[in-house]
Order: sequence, then structure tokens, then C-alpha cells
Amino acid sequence: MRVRVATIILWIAGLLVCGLVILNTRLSTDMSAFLPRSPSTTQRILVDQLREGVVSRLILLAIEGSDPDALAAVSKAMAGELRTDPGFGIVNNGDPAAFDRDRALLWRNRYLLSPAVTPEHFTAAALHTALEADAGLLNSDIGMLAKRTIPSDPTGEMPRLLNALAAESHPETYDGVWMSADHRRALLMVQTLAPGFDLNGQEQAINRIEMAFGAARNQAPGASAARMVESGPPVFAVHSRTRMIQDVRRLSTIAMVLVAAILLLTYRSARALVLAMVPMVSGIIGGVAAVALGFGFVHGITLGFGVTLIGEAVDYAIYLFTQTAQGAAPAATLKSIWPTLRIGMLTSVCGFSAMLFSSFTGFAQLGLFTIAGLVIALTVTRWVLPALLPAKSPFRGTTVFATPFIALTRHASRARFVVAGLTAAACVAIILHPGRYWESELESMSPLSPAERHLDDQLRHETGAPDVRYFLIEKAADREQALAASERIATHLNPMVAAGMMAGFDYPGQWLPSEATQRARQAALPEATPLIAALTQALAGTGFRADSFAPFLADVATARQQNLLRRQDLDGTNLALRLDSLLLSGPDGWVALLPLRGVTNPVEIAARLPGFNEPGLLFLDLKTESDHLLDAYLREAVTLSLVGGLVIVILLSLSLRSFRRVAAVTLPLAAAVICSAALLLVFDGALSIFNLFGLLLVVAVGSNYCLFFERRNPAGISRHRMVASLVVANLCTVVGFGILSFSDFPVLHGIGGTVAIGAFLCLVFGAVVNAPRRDPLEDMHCVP
Amino acid sequence: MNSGAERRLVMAAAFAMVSAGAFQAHAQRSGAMPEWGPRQLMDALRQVRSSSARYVETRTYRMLNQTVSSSGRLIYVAPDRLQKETIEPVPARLTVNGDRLTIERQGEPTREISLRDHSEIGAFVESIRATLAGDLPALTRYFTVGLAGDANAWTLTLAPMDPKLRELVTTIRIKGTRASIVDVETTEADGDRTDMAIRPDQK
Repeated sequence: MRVRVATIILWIAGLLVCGLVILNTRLSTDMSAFLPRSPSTTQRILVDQLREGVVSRLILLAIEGSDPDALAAVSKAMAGELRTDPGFGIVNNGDPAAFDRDRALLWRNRYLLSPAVTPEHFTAAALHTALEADAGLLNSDIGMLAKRTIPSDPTGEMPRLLNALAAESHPETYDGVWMSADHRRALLMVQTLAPGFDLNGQEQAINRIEMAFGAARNQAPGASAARMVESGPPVFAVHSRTRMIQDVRRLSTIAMVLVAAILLLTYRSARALVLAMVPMVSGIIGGVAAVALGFGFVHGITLGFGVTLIGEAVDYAIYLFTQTAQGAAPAATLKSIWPTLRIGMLTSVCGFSAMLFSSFTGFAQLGLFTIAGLVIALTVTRWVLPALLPAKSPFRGTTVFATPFIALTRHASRARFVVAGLTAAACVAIILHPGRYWESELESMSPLSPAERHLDDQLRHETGAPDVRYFLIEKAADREQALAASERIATHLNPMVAAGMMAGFDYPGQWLPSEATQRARQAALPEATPLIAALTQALAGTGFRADSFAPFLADVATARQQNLLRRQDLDGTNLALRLDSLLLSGPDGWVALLPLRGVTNPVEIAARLPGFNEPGLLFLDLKTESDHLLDAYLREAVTLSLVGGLVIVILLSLSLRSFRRVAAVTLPLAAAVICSAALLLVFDGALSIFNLFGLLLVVAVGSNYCLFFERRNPAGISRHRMVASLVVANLCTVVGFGILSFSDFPVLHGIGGTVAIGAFLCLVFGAVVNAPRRDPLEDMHCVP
Repeated sequence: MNSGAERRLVMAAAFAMVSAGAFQAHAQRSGAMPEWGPRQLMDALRQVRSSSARYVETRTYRMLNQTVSSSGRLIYVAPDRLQKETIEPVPARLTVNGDRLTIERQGEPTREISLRDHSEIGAFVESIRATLAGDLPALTRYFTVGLAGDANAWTLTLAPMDPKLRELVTTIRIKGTRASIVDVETTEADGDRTDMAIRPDQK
């Protein structure tokens, strides 16, 4: 009695300590935990971009459902409201005022910004050519506009900069705001200040956008029917999370209710139901505490999925309750089944350790959570549960579920051929499977529906938002060096544009030249006397009056003296967004990104890069690189799973010490995994990483079944009760995971479906392979 | 069953055409009458559904010692499509279609703007387009309109009301005979001038 009280006190104290640890832990929703920890340089840049890059913070909005005037009014009111919100870096709806600021900045700094500014640019001959072009412009339809700038900018630096600026296409404007060509959608681009991985920050931003839209719709006349559609990475991330939480909550509630119903039906006792939950709940609390101690934070996803992963913990109580006859001592049953439970738990731990070593923090957390949770759940089953139970089991525990299985095992000799035949057929199906075995495209993991992807493509196309596949990347120690490198690379790329290998490119030095380049351009501007001499000579034969260019002389004189352009001078213009997406600062220095547009010959471009003599220069193909990322991740997971499987076999060999017995446990498991994999391949076309984790779970849960089936003549427990306990446990697993497979999310669907199929096959195959030679009917007489 | 409806439709169309012709004839006949005025001119212009012409444009800039000139073709399709195709000296094309103004010029990226977003350009385009369309309300929305002469030789003087356009353009003087425009002269605020002589194609 004293031991019993001490055990319960110790257990409660343990739970309290875990609770304290959990209360002091940060719950993270940073999705990048599910991105790898140790990728290559290009992959790290890719991951950083996904985490916090400009693209990860870009929200595309479209307002539709009203006439164009109402849409424009809503767009203006909304943008006005959002611009006052400190949570947004840039709010762009085509507002001409923002463009006017860009123009003003370019105009003031045109001689510092224009790559054409060299000493040769201001010789008499060069000026003469420029003036002839100007005369041509005056004799054209834009003459009336051109004449306003020609006296100040005869060499055409401003048109040159505007052309570079316009290379990124923008939507049409209507009434001063961006509008799709058919005038059915007003378009806005919003950049949040919160980084892409901060889902809570992104969620707040989206809420504020929706509020601003609601208010604007109420203000604007005739806009009551207007609706807003949103797209872009922050929207996807937040909506996916919300939907995933809803999905997990809804499906797991259904699963819990069904599992509780099964348990109630089996034991006809609320007390049994509550006690069955004790090991699992203890395991969850202990598992979270273990992750908190191991990682310093707990990821929301770990919490959501971990609970599903240690569903196995409910099985422990089911084995105990069902295998103890009413009135018999649970302690005696426990003593008898303990070696089986222990080895079963250890095989599960081996299976899950594959996740523990994953280079994705999120999966490593899941692994640790599951392992700690299972160890604690089993410990609680072994020592705490008997303390909570009366000395004689009050639960009757129906064994009716066992009957079909006992019937099945009566025909075991024939059924074994069926299992062998099915497995052989599955092997053939796998070998003959056309195409690839694994989903190798990142898109297969994406929680986006085709409709969402289509909307995103459409909005991206309409707003002209950057969606570039090829980049050049140059790392540098500081901003100046990154800018200077980008300028050097640009000089190498210009001939490639001329040769038609790409349509164009952008580089950070275009919008913020390095100080050295700005100084060089200032130095290239002639002093007043030589400039006047060159201009006078150049004017001959152009038709221009000599006195027309006083503004030009004045502006050049000013530019020679003016302050260099600094980063903060770009604030408040669209150029800031442009520059920030091209020039990134990271923990180990700066990175210049050069997006290449309209690439026609990526192979040739990559081949020419070494000739640039820039040792740090990298060619990044976003599509290939992200697919590589998944590939590497998949290879790692497959390797770790195989190692986990090998460790399980070694563990079983050490424990069972018999080749026959090891085979009796592992063969049905292997057959179930092979058949499940074949089924998934045939029906889904290819296996995803989530199917792989599902198969790991199948091994973890199924090994318990097989170990129980393999036990010969368990002392004091009828085989009938043992089979019944496995069937109840399996029913709970199949129902619980089967429900998850109804989710639209690849991750829930993949894991749920795989486990439901695999666990059921494990039970059947385990029963058939390990059917006793004696007539099991004899056992039935022992059932009280 | 359909043929009855079809016949009615054809007859209605025929009647519309005949009455339009009669109206045009009436407009022309009344041109010589003393009550000729802006409304009558606009009525006459409105009858023209499409037209094409050759033009020669001469520009006078203060910053140039001599005038420069270009030539090409003009095409108008009622109610709002206008195309100006420069042939000499550098091929280019300016198209106005509804709200869109497109400028294509050899060796340069195509520019496209919304007239609504650039009120000064919009008003400038409307001076010619609304005149061709015979759309007096549109003209009076942007300009103070004055008319001199008679149906055979009229001069429409447009003074912009849009403040942004007024900074650029003082007056637009459109000369014509009957339902054809023969000359458009634009005087800019700084004294520069553009004169476009138009010779309509023979129908």
C-alpha cells in the first residue's frame, strides 16, 4: 500500500515538473523548422529567402466584383489606410505619387546612377550623337514631352534609367490605381515588415489588411459587392496553418470520439476509458517537456502531430485491460506481458530514431517527442497504472472481436500462401511500377490546392510580381563589396543579353551604385570650361540654339559636387523594395542577387561564369535547387529508415535469440510494409516523404502485434484474450489514422492513409504467420 | 419562323441607313443656312463613321533654329479609335483606343498609358477625337470652344480648361471644310507651335 501511494506521488510530482518546464517554454510557429539545418550555400540562400526574403513577405491582393470606379476607390482608401500602418514596408497600388517620388529620386541622381556616365560620354562627338537623337525625338509624337527634359538631360540619362525601371512590367492603371487589363480587378502589392517565418506576425498583417478592406468597402460608393482575394507566401502560410489546425482539430475530435466509443463498447466502463488515457496523456506531457529541454522551444506542429504519433501509447493500456480477465490481478498480467511490451516499445523507438537524426529541426523534434513519450507512457503503464487499479480487475472486457481472427488462423496454412502470394504480387507491382518511386518535386508537399496555385499564377502575372527562376548569387563581406561585385558581373552579363541568351537582368548596383562607382561617375563629369567647349563643338549642324542647354551645364556642375546616394535616400520609394530584394544581409555577410529574365540558354550562361573571374559567384536555378533540397531530404529519410529497420532486426535478434522467432516477427512486418507501399504506389502514383513516415509508424505499431502473436503459451493469459486486445488496439489505430486520411493536406492524408492500411495488414499478416498449430478452440474454454 | 424576324431586322437596318443618309443630306443642305453653328457642325462631323488622311506636321521649337517636319497617315474609326502613323523621317505609330494611348517607335520600348490617369494628355487627345466624333459635350468638358466661319470654311478654337494642360498648351485651332478637318494648329504655353496639315483620302 505504501509503495502504491509513493508511486502515485512520484508520478504526480513528475507530471508537475514536466508541467513547469512546459510553462516556461516558448511555443514556436516558425515554419522554417521544417527546412533543413545544414544545406549548401545556394540552399541556405534559398532557405533564407523562404524564411525572410522580400518574396516571403509579399502579399498580392485583388479587389473584384464591382465596377472599375468603385474598385479604384476601394483600392485608394485601402492603400491610404495601410500606408499609415507601421506593420507594412511597402504598399503599392499603382499610386502615381509613389512613382513621382521614384522619378524625382532618379532625376536628382541621374549622373550617379546611369551606367552610361563615363569620360567618353561627354566628348564633342558623343554629345553630337546625343543631340541628333534629341532632335529626332522633338520631331516625333513625344516631342512635346521630350522638350521638357532635353535642355537639362541632352544625353538621355533619365530615359535610360526609366527603361531599366520599367523592365519589370507593371499592370495597367485606371484612375490612378493598378487594374487588370479587363478592368475587373484592382491590384495591390503589400510587403509586410514581419519576416515570412513569423506566422503570427503575418496573420496579424493579413487581419489588418482585411479590416482595411472592410472599412474601404463601406466608405467607397457602389462598392458593397466588392470582394478581396489574397495570395502570396504569407497568405498561403497563414491560411494553411489555420486550415491545418482546423483539420487536425476536427479530424482528431472525430477520431477521439470513435476511439472512446470503441473503448466504452469494449469495457463498458467510463473508468476504464479514463485509465486507458493515463499512459498516453502522461507520455504527451513528458514528451513535450523532453522537447522543451532538448531544443529550448516546442514547435506547434510537434504538438499537433506528436499526439497522433504516440497513439501507440493507448495500446499499452488496452493490452493490459483486455488480457486481464475480470477478477484476475492486473499486476500478474503485466508481469507476463512486460517483456513483450518492452521489446515492442524499443522497436518503436528504433523506428522513430530515424526522425531524431533528421537534419530538419521539426522532424528531429517529432522524433524526440515520440521516443520520450513512448518511454514515459510505457513506464506509467508498468508502474503507475497497477497502482491506480484495484488488485482485482473490475473490467470485463469483451473478447468478441477476437473470434474472426481465431477463425482466420484456423485456416492459417492456406492463408500463409495467400500472404506470400500477395507479398510476391506487391513486389512485382513495385518492380514494374512505371515512373519514379518518390515524389521528387517540392510541389507534391505543398498544401496548396490547384485553385490557389492558379490564383497565385494569375495575380503574379497581372501585377508583374517577380517570379524569376534563375539567379546569380555573389557573396561579399560588406554592402559596398556586394554592390561593387554586382557591377562587375553586370559588365559581363551585358554581352550575353546582346547575344540573346537572356532578355535582361537586374542587379543591386543599378539602384545603389557602390561608392567607388559613384565617385568614378562624378569624376567622369567634365568641368564647366571643357564641357562648354565640347558642347559648342557638338551643337554644329544639329539645329539646336546654343543657349538652350544652360540647365544641362548647371546640373552637371551640381552633380560633380553632390552628396553620394546612400541606402536611406531610397526610403519611401519603390526603389527601396527593388534594392532590398537584390541585396541581402545575412549572419555571415552580404549577398547580391542578380535575377536573370527570359533566360533562353541556362547551360551556356552557367558555362561562362568561370570566365568572370569571380570566385564566389554561384548560378542558382530555383526550381532545380528546391527539388534537390527535397531529394536530399528524401535520401536522408530513406537511409535513416533503413538503418532504423536494421537496428530493429538486431534488437529483436538479441532479445529473441532465435532466427525462427526473429523471422516470425519481422516477416509479417516486412510483408505488410511491402504490400502497403505497393498499394500506395498503384493508387497515388508515387510515394511521398509523408508515406515514408507513415511506414515507420506501421513498423512501430505493427511490431507490437507481431511480438504478441509470436509469444508461445503466454503464462496465465488466454490466446483468445491476447488476440482480442490486439484487435481492439488495431481498431483504434485504423479508425484514428483512417480519419486523418480524409484530410486534404498531403501530410495528414499521407501519414493517415499509410498507417491505417499498414497497421491492419500487420495485424492480419502477424496473425496468419504466427497461427498456433494447436486448435485455438481449446483456448476458448479458458475464457471465463 | 425565323425568316419573319430576319426580314424585319433587315428592313429596320435599311430604314436606318436611308434616314441617316437623309439626315446627312439635310445637314449639308442646312450648312449654307444662316443658323449654322457648333451644333450643326458637330452633327455633320458625327455622320462620319471612319476616315483616313495623309498629314504633314511641322513643328516650331524655340530651342531649334529651324522647323522640323514629319509626315504620315491618320486613321479614325468612330467613336474612339484614332491612329497616327508616322512614315517620315522615323517610322512610329501612335494609337488611341478608348482609354489607352500607345506609342510605338522604332528601337524603343512600347509605351502605353491610360488617358484617364494623365488628364493633360487625355484632354489633348480629346481635342481631336471629340471633334472627329462630333461630340460637343466632350469638347466643352475640356475646352472653351469658339467657332468662326461657315460650313465650307470653319475654324474651331479650343482653349483648355484643365490647369495641367493649360501649363503646356494655350490654344488648339482646328480648321475644316464641311465634315472634314484640314488643319490642326497647336500653340504651346512657351510659344512653340505644331501645325498639322491634313489631306483627306478621296472616298
